[in-house]
Amino acid sequence: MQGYESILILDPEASEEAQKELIEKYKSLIGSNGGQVVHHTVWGRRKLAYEVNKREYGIYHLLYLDKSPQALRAMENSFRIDESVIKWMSVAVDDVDKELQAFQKLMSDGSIAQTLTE
Amino acid sequence: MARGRSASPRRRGLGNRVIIPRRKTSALNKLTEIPYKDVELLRGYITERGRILPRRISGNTATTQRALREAIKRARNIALLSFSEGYVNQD
Repeated sequence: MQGYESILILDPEASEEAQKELIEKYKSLIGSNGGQVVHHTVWGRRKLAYEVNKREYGIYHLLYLDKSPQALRAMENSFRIDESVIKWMSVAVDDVDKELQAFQKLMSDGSIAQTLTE
Repeated sequence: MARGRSASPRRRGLGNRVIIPRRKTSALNKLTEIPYKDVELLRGYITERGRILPRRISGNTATTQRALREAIKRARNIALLSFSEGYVNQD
């Protein structure tokens, strides 16, 4: 299934609950714009390769959406005003399920799984 | 006797230049697409300073190198890789 893969970096200070709430908020936002979040997965806390908004760490989340450009645009517009989303990137993918599987395989292989907590 | 060239061991013009053997092929050439999230994989194709290795060194095919370039740029965009390494602010 064609769609989008959005990778977001959330504020490292955000609590688990705050993160969950935020993701739920975006899920409903996408729903009300005619889209659908197919998958959501957490990559975890990672050290950023460079400082973003004076932050050295970030919590990575992945959202897989169906192919509805309006919903994507609505979501990105609210990322711009949401201070707990410090960076994001959306990529069009041919098959959201395959992308998720590829990511999970990378995670279980361990090479990208390290989540740094210092 | 008398072959045209003398049997000198050293070819003219090359001097004592050390010839660095190149990697003839790259493991990436077997992949159909390059995941930008696989930071460890991408690290093998950038220099210490964070620049993308030329395919003359890595042995990538043109197609692979293009895919790799996109993957590295995506990874940089989302702070998985740095744009440059080792720069010290002079302030």
